[in-house]
Amino acid sequence: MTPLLEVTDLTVQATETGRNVVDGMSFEVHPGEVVAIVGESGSGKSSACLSLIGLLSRGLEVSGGSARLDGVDLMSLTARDWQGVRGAELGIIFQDSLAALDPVRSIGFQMAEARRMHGGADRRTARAWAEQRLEALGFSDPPAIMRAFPHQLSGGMRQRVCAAIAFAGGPRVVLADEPTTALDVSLQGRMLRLLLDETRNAGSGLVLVSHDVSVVRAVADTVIVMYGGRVLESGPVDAVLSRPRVPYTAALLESTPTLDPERRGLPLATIPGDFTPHAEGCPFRDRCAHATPSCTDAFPEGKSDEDERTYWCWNPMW
Amino acid sequence: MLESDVVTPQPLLEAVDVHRYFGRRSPVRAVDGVDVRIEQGRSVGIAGESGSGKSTLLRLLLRLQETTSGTISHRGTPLAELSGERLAAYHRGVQAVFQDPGGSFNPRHRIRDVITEPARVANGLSSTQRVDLARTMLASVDLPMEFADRFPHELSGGQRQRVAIARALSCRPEVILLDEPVTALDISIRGTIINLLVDRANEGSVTYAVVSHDLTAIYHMTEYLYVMRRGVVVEEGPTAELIETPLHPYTRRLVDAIGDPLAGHRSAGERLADDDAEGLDERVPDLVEVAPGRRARLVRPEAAATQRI
Amino acid sequence: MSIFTRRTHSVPTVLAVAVLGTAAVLAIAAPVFAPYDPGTQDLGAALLPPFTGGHLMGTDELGRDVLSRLVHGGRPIMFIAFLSSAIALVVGSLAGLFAGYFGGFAGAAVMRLADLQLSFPPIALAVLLAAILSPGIKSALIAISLVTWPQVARVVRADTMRVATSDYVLLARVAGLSRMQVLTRHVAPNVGTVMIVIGTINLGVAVIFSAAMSFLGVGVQAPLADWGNMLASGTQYLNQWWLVVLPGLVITAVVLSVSILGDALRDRLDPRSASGGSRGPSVQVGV
Repeated sequence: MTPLLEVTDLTVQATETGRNVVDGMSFEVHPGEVVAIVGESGSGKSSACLSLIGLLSRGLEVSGGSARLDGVDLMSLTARDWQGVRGAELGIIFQDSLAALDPVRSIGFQMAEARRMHGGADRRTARAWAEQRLEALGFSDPPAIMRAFPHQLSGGMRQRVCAAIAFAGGPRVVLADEPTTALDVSLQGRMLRLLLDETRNAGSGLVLVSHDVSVVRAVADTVIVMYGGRVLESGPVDAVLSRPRVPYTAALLESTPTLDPERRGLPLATIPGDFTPHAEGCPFRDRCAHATPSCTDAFPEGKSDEDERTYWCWNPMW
Repeated sequence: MLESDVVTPQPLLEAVDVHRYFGRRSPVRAVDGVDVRIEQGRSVGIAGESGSGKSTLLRLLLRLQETTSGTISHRGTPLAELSGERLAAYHRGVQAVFQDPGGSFNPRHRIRDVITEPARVANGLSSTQRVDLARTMLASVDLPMEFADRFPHELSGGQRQRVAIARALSCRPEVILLDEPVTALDISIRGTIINLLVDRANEGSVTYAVVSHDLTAIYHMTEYLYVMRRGVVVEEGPTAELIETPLHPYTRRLVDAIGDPLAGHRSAGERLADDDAEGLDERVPDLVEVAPGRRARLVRPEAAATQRI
Repeated sequence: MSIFTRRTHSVPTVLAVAVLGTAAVLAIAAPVFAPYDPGTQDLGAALLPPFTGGHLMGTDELGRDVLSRLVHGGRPIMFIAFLSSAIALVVGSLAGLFAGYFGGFAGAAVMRLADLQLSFPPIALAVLLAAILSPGIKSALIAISLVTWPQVARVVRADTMRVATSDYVLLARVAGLSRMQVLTRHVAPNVGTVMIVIGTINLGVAVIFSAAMSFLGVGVQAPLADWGNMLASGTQYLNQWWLVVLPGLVITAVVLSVSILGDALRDRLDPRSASGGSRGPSVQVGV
């Protein structure tokens, strides 16, 4: 199957310090596939996501690699080209739904606008589409929601609207940057279900950025584990999260607090130390129980195994 | 055993039938009849999502807002009646740690001023004493002493939370109220903070009230749990029991979501519902004892008996 | 203060500082710099264009040296502008802090007073005051202070409300500080940057008002030299462009510089902004 999105060796650099916040990242997204990028602060996961849609903040720039969406290299697009790509070919859902929506425009207006601009419909068709989507999304009074403003909706409702807007233009790939993090835990399931259904139905791809391993385990097909700008391990979610090869992945899984009665009363596992950026070698070495001198000298080459996962480690767990 | 043999000590903090409404015309009932007891040595969790009223309750317990009706007491004295020395004792005895990121510290103050503020207010310190205390406090939470001269924005989230804990502990309080203490932190370091807090509690010196939507933090840090929804407590009881065998459907939903974010939405195309569709009026069933030591608002309390292990 | 040792100055800021510095120096030491006495008339040498007859910037209708009048003309304007905006800043900030932090009936009352003040057209008010108090520097001072304090109060109040809801303010109360202590120790300093910005913007406004009042004849009175009344009398001699353009340029330059400086000061004073304080945190934001 040809991939919808093909990222090769993507490198994002901070212009002032010269540090690579994303360093040589490669992955593919196939139709109907959910690819999750999991990492913590400093991992580069958000920058990777934003670089794909050309929304890096000032001070960050793509310094190497490519990202091909249906053959078009996203890194070569001009600002004008982006107008035709964002929304129509590539959608995005942000973490903060209140900030993502225009506070002075009604929900109906914003949804219809997305549909008109990227789906090519006229105003009436677009509004009809919007109302129909709201019904499909489970809102019990779509006309009222159409007239409502973002601040009048709850967080969960807004985020669903944002998702509808992201999918409005029929994009090939949708990026979702921590879409459920700001939602109440009892609403996360609904949002994730929505994302899954939209992706599978449209045959598009979903790139889900998250710090929450259990979310990733629930919805992703493929997972990419990042630390300090590097991809340390990637592959089918079952292989990577159930039988991790890389110490960081294992430590991350181990240190995620659970409701396991056996663990109650015992000190929680944790990864000692704090994130310190390093230009050379493996970024996780200071906090890794398996580190050896070669980890400081150079970043390892990737190796693949029969589970179709790739890992970058001098001292894998197995 | 004679009744008089059993002496119930005064709870450190107690809320009795507390209501807090906002606005005059059709008021928002943020807290709508809540009873909470924080006793020495029994750390308490208050779990809930947005709109549950848990954060408002926290602010009421911290005397940052006044109740619309109902009383909150510190060791038996209503907060509204505190003044002078008793008020000072309340401030020494009751401290707080908030969520951060970024907002818990005055961005213009250095860490040494931030971390010693409660102690300075309580005792007054000379500048050398301030520096010494700052260094001691930093060491007690495993932070390097050089941090004393830094500004808050120069520390990571986890480091700031440790400073916040050290600050809260600096006056040797009896109770610390924590609002989402680890929610804003990376998952792999949440354990560090929780372990730190649990160690302090085990040393016998402090009791916690943890307000959070994150049941895992509450699970590891508390002995008694109140679950709040829309301003009322829907279930309460010993933390482990509540989480291992929840009786109220809302509690069950919160617990299930932890291991499995897709819980309840496993099948494709399931008709998604509005947030308010399950608009039960939470207040309708009363909060009654449905099992020994367990209270909940259940439509059919008798059914609870069959759910015990 | 370490803000003065920063290396990263941008071109506009440097220019702004230069312009204001020059204006200040000239205003203070005017007699030293002015080549002629600004009041000396020489009707035989009237309306000379710049660079003629020993007058770098020409002469006006009464033969007075334009350059000297410009140098001296800064004094009343700057004096009035600085003093009135200082008064407005103090009064407005106190009102804004009070209304923003304590709120309630008294806070609302203060803001309603500010609104009332704002509903008066400023120039009309200035003229009215001049008529009542007799025109001159004193009435200009009062008028401008009255007219500009409400905007300061509004801005300060808004920022005070933002700061007052911060966690660290609540935690200071939890630590046991009284409301007044919290206001002075935590709230006011963090609103300080806003005060500086609005204060400098206000200074620009005050300069314009001051010049406008003189232009209209209700501020500084002739024969005292002042950019505003120079501009006013210059309008009768539009063929002699230097009588209008030069005072106008000077006013514009000063106002622009004040505003650029306000921006630059705000950037410097916020410990978190990229160009101020120590270098950023070790953990990148947004990565």
